[in-house]
Amino acid sequence: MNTGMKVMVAVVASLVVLVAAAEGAVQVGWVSPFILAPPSQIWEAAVDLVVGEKLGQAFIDTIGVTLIAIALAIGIGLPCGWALWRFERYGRAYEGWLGALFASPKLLLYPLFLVMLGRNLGTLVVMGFVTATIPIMLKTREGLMTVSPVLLNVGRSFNLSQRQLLWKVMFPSAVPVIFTGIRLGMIYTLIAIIALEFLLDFEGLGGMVGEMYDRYNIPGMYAAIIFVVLLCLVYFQIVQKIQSWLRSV
Amino acid sequence: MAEIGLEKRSAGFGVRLSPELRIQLFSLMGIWALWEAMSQSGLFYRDIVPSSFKVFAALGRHLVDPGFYVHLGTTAYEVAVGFTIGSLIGLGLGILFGVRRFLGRVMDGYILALAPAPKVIFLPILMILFGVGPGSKIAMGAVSAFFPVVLSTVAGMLLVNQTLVKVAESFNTSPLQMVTKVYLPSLVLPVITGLRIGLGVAIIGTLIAEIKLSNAGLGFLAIQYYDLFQIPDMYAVIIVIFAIAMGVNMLMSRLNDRLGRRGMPATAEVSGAA
Repeated sequence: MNTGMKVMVAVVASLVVLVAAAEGAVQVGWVSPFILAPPSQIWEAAVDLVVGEKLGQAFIDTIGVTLIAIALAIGIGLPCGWALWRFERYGRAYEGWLGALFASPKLLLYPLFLVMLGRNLGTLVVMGFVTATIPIMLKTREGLMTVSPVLLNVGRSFNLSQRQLLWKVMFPSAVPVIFTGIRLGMIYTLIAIIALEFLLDFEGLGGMVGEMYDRYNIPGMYAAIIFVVLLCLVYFQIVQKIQSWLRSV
Repeated sequence: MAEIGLEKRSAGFGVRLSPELRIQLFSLMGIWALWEAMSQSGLFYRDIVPSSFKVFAALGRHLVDPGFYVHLGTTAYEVAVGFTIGSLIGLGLGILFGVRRFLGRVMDGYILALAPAPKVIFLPILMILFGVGPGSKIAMGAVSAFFPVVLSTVAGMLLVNQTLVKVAESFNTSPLQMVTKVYLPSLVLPVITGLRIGLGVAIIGTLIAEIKLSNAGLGFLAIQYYDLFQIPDMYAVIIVIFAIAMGVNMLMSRLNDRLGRRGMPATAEVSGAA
């Protein structure tokens, strides 16, 4: 058995032990069921959420808003990134600002949009959009700036017009860098949207966790949290896969 | 673009401003003018877009109000304690996982599974465990800070020069000495990066926990003003929160750069000598 397999076995075995220990600790009465729901009840609650279609609806709500926000962020971020590259001075002037904004706790700006747009999905979409569009702009500019001069010279030797050069040479070669921005945007946007759903008691997966807590449905709350963790994990893996696929093409 | 070229030629006459700085100044003025125009236009319900003068007046009022500093102190205390706990645990476990590689790879499975999730989602569990008071806010900050610190420490441990470890072993170092004399000095750079990110997310985590449910702190203050529809006050608190968060991030970046410049050649020197 190689080390990779051993690690896998150890992860699964430790998980089984953890689950069994949690179940035992609650059943014996060492841990209050109001603090830790026994895994058997969490499982039941999880099945309820799946069968009762509550989970499906929450999933669609969250992913729907996330994808709309990302589509908007790409639609606006890409041309803006191009403009920042095309008009160098503006690019240099705004780069630092965008970088600072990217590192800033943008999530805490949400009351601002809540006031302007009201307590509705618009706030979620705008917050998701703001989160995603900044890395997309920055990386689009960076990608276009770092296109290899050799490729540009080849394009010029074929007498390509500026427009053809942009579409046939620059964008394709900048795609891996641009997607780094899109990837960051996609991950941060999902996180921001789930967090806001939880904070604002909206629909969606984040809202589901909050609702379970408010109703003091402890097994349901743990089940909902596990679903959120799993969704984020799978989403993260898919985005990474797209990235490595783009790099290999 | 032609316009900018003209300005460049005439730059000798007036005040010398780089074109970038000029763009920044004009943009700031443009944004401010747009904001004022929106606030004066009457298109928005009262105070949704308050005049910047009202916001700055509110900011000034807060900055001289002792009560405001009580909230600021509460948040600072929660962030400081949470960040310290979370980053110390992250650092300790990171070193342990780096030394015991098998355990480290098993735990990697758990950490990497939890890392992409928004940490706020664990807030209900923390509120059950630590109550709805400052305890859960501190725990939220600790959980937030833990992940970037442990991940960067483990990554840094993999890059520790094994020759240094062997040399230290041949000197019969105790485990504690090994940590303080070999691992920590080699880890400075990755750990500082992890701490910078960790402090940033600890601030966000703590403030979000305050916003969700609390009766003190800047997050509470902001959301209370929202509920009372005192929008200029809300904006003032958000400005303070943003200024602090970005200031802290800038300080940590500076620290990162300085230690990076100072730390790197030293490590390179030592490894070169070995």
